[in-house]
Amino acid sequence: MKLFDKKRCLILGLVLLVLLFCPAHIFAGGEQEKEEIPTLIWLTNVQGGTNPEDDLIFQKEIERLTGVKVKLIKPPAPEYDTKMTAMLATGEPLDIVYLLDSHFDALWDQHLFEPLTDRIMSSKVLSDPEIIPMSEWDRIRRDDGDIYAVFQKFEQGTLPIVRADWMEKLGFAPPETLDEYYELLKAFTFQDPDGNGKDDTYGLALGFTIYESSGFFGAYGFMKGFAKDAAGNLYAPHATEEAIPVYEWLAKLYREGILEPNFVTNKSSNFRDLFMTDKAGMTCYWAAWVGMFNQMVKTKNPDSPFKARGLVPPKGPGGRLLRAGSDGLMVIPKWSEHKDLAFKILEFWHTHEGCVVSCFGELGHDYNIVDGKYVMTEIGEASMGQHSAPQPKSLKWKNPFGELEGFDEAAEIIRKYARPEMVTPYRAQWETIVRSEAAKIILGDISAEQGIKNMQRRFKEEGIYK
Amino acid sequence: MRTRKNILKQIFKVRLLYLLMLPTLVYFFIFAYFPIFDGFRISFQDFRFVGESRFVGFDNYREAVQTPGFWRAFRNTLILGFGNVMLTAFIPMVLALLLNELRIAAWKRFTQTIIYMPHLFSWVIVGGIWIFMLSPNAGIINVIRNLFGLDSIYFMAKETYAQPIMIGVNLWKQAGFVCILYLATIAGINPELYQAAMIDGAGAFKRVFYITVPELLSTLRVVLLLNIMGALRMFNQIWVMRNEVIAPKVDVLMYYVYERGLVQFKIGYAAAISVLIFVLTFIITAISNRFIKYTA
Repeated sequence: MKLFDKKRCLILGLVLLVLLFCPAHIFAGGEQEKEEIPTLIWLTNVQGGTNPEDDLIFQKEIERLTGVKVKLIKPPAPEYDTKMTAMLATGEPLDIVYLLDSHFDALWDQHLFEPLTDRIMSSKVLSDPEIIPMSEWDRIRRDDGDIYAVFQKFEQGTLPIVRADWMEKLGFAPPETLDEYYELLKAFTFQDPDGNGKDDTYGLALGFTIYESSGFFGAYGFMKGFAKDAAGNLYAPHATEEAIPVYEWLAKLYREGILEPNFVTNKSSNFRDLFMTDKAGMTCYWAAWVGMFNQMVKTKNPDSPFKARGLVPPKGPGGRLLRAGSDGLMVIPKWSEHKDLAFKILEFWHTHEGCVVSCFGELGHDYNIVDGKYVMTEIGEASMGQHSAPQPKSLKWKNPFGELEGFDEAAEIIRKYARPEMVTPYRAQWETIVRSEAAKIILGDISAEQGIKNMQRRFKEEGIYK
Repeated sequence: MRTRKNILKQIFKVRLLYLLMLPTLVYFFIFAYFPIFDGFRISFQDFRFVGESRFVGFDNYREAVQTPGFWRAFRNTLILGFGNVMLTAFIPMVLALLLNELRIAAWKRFTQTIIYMPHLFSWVIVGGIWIFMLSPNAGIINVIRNLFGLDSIYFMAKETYAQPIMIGVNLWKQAGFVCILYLATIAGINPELYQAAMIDGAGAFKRVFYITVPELLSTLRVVLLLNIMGALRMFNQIWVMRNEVIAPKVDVLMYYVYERGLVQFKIGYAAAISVLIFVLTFIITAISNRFIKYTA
């Protein structure tokens, strides 16, 4: 028998070619042709569940509540920006895309997004100032006067979160100034707040994103990112000599062993764990985590004295200031063939039902309604009551389960003191340069003066400073 | 002319095999060569995702060579690349020679497995392990230092240690794999050569230097060439292990492209640097091929 029989090879080759190049729907039995209701493609890394099975349930719930079929595409979080950019660049058939304001800002002038102003203004839900105030829409309005995105959630902000039970045990009142913060953090480090007789606690555990510790810089009136001087030039407040006292304060914490020493390499899960496992008395993180810290610790150990609370940021020459979170936004690509349906979903997201889905998940899976009362299922409790929005944007939102312990006070502090940073195309450069030099100052490798000089030189090299 | 005709005739004879090759060729054209050519085109543009991209000539290339960040990344790539190429080629050879001298088979297999294991881990795991091992308060290295009364060092936050750590961790991960390549070559050496050398009175060292090492040279060439080609493309390790403090010492060209292209969306500029990396890889590979004489 010949190994390469001509006929066999030809047939095999043709079959391979057919398999490679035939459109997929031929093998799906012409399902697409039969399908009458279009399915929206929703690119996101926040909406939906925590695994593919949960995502399917989420899709069904959206269809049940809106009558619109959706299909989530959820690239893994670390690759999300890359995949999202590539999919937008190649004109993939997407109908809704989730992205952060920095990416929105960088991509806006590429004319990728559908203007939504008219739709928003004629929407009963989105134009209702009791749901989203006009000032919020104005904040994301572009220079051409149009609005191109709809908010994802209330982004909150970061604030100092303290072990209130330790603070009470050691006889401290909530600190008001940087000096009082220092005394409290020192006590957490050296006065054995957990009472185990071991020297195994730190005052403060941080990650290395600087913005988390915005409250300390806020005492001097400094906001993360850039500001404009009188001449309209950009400058970074963190890279000015006025910021030296805050760097020196942080350097003192490190030098004296009060600041947990891995802060440069800590991921958020690292310092969250330190805070929840009696290793640190304070951290700086999102307000929603005040409630989640309490719930997570109490779920594991109901008898734990653990009590996390948000703190009012320290007062200094610049008053009190916290950084509000960057906006997560949802946009409709210009080439979407289902813009009306896509907008219907964006509108739905801010209705009461939409808020329930975004907060708690799906009826019958994450929660049930018994005699008109919302009751969380075991699965719902395990997912910590958050799906994509721990706190919806709508001002009308009232959590039917009640908020988690400590969250309300923390959210109030954010509302009172947090301001959003100025959006510029240079956020990545700011983070690289300020983080790098700030860490060297805090670690004691260089003086604060030298660090500030380095920051200014590097901003110049990047062409941001004139 | 006749030769060309003969070639065409021969191709026609086995045309079905060429037909079967077609899907693979199409695949490579679409997913490998087309992006290279398209990247080349984009590098001359102020690229926009939608609408017309403006032709800017060599502006992106000019900007690249005038930016200190590019040269910093280039210098880091050369230093880390050279360290990786050399250490990952020669140290596993020494390991292979030592392993080959072990007489207890079980012990040899055990050691081989231990050395090879890191190669199976992803960079996320390897990076996490080493960041923890080098941490100032709980890492094993500093715990040992503290036992001897020495102060902890925050290795991952000191520029001085950044490059040696990156090279060392890469060696730790890759050594086992390269070592196995050498061991396979050693296993293929004709035992009669050793017997003849022993009859001639050659000791263990002489047998290694005059028989084993020369026989390993062909494998060394392959390892060197593969390492050189991979040196300019290093990314995963840096992406996992870098932080802003050590970034000036470890940010390499591929990371620079990623940051400019996919974080700052300067696509044309990033494409220009990608083209430069492509050209550099080509030149370095061609030169090293000449020196290493792989084709010979």
